[in-house]
Amino acid sequence: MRKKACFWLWTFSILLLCGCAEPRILEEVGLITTYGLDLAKNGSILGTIVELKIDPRAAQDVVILETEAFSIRGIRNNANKKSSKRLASGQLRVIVYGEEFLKQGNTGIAETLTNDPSVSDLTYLAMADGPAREILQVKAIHIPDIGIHLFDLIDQNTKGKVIPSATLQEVLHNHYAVGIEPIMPILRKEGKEGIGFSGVALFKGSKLVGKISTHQSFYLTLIIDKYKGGIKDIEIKSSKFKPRNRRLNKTVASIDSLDSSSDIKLINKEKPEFDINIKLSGRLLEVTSKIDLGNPESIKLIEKAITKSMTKEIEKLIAYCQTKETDIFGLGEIYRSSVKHSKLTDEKWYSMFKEAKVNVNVDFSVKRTGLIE
Amino acid sequence: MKAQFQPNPQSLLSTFIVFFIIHSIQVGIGIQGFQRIIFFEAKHDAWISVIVAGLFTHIVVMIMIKTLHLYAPTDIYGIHIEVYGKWIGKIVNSIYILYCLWLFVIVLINYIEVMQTWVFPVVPTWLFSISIVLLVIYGVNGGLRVIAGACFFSFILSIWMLGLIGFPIRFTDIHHLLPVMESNITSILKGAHKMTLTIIGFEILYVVYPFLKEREKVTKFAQLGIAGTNLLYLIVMLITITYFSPGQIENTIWPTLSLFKIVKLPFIERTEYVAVSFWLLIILPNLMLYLWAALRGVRRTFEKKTKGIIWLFSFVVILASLFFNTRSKINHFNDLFASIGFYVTFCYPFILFFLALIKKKITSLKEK
Repeated sequence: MRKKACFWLWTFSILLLCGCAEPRILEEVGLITTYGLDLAKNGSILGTIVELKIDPRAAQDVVILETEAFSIRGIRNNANKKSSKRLASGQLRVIVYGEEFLKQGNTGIAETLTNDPSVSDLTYLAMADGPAREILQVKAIHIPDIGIHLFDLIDQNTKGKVIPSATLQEVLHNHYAVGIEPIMPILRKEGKEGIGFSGVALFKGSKLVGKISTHQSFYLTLIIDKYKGGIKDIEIKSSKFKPRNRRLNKTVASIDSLDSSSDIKLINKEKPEFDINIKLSGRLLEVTSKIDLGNPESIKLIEKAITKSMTKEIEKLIAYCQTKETDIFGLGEIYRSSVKHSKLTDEKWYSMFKEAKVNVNVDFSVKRTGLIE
Repeated sequence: MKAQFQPNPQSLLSTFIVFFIIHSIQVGIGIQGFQRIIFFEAKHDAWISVIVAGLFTHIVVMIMIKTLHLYAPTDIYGIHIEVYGKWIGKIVNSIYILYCLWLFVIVLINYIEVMQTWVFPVVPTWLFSISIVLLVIYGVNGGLRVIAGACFFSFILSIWMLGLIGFPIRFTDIHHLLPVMESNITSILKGAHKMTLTIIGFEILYVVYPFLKEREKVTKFAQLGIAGTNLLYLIVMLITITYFSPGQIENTIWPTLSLFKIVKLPFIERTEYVAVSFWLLIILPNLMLYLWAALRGVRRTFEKKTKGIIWLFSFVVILASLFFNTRSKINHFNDLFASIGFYVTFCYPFILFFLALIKKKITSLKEK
């Protein structure tokens, strides 16, 4: 009996002694919240890391580290040399890429990131208008932590559908899929202290090929997503409306509580031809021309004018994407799913998309006009 | 030894428990990454492969229960002795015991690999395997009733994970499934064949059978267990295909665990860590049942006490788990097992059934 007890005692004490996984105590870890990736001179990666330290004595708990390395893990390793705490990427929230970095194409950086189980698939990706390090180096009194500021900025605007969502999962999904290309919002330094969105970057594979403005990205969201709430100013070019003042030679209608749905259909399988039907309704709150909102006739006139101007904008957007051969709408996905044995490859779809005919039908209706008729 | 075996009444189990036993032994390590292997064959029609494999399993279970009914109450070891005679029967039984141990090792090494890649990259293999095996020995020493309890609780306690699968649904795109039946029949069948390693385990029915109280109800609950597993696999497969793009599935080793990466709760930011650690509870009944089945085999075939044997088996298993420590070795080992396991689980029951039928006819003719 004693022998047995002795045996168990030994087994368990050995287990307990060796059973220590690598501990990660919060006070001893530097949390990486943001990565900025740029192209360095000799072809390596210039990484900017925003580190969040937990140190009650420090006046500022955010540290910005810059290093060069050939791999993304190398950046972390090199930055470790400059940090008093061990860097860990489990709290990574945002990755900002420099424009030059994405222009060179096939980087494979996003792919290697998912390899690491500690990186969340909900990490936001964004492109900087210029080098990424400039965005991360922004210092302002109202931004105590640039990492969290960027995360909140992107999170808030993504949820409000101001910019299209670009999480690691979505970008990789579209990158690996045939017939749909990834997009990323573009961040721009505004003045000395501000950061804002300036548009959306368009990719072909993993190569940056074009940019659209935030104004155009509204129409992109109309096609690929649904609106539930949201405000938009729409320009109307029509001689039937007289502008309020002489300086303004166009009419702008402001619509809020937007409610939209879209439907894309393939109508010709031999020569790809698509119908994009967009249904849209909202409250008309403001029109910059003198118009009687109580009159159903003039409401109809506005509806017609807005529909026309929207259709034109969407057609312009699609034509632009076609010249850049980047199918950000996922038309190829719809083609592949409706044509049996299409054996669609990326290369094949790039040329097919260029030739594809797209008919846009917008159906806009004014639900109500606010408090005043 | 006698071909028939009637356990004493206090060690009998209620028949409905067989539902939990079958379900929890089937669901294990396979579900973590089966989507990718099947997707390679059947592309976006992989879900059809899952259905085909599931239907085939129902047929196999039917045949298994029919075989057991022929000599009831008995288990596979008794049937082997009855059909093949004393010596060949013993050899076949030994092979079956080794098969159970092999399955044990497969489950163990795959789980340890997942643990090491996701959560504890520096904790050594031996520590995992010794602590898990000790836990398993503890359960097996308690007998089948304890193991059945573990199966029941593993099912009840892990059912919440199915709710987490709902999170990725908002990122899914139904277009990925279209057009249906683009792959030809051959690749769909090939995909179904690749389901082997995932769907395997229900052959435990061969060993558990004599311990069940009401034998006429076994069919109902066993088939229900199989149906439950199939439904689970189908749901997971459909979500995976619609959530990931084809290229992503082909590059992800454990798509089911990667699905958890998107789950973000207010109090836990990264749920996949919890899921991976929690998986031990799903693995445990698996391991217990395989070790128990192997020990049953020893007791039935060689009529020996199993007290010492359990330590011997554990030692062998731990040693084996230390040897398979890299991804390529484990992959190779899995593939080898899948090809053999297919014949043992899906083809052998038919052969055994016909042999048992012929044997029964001959004996009844002789008696006349």
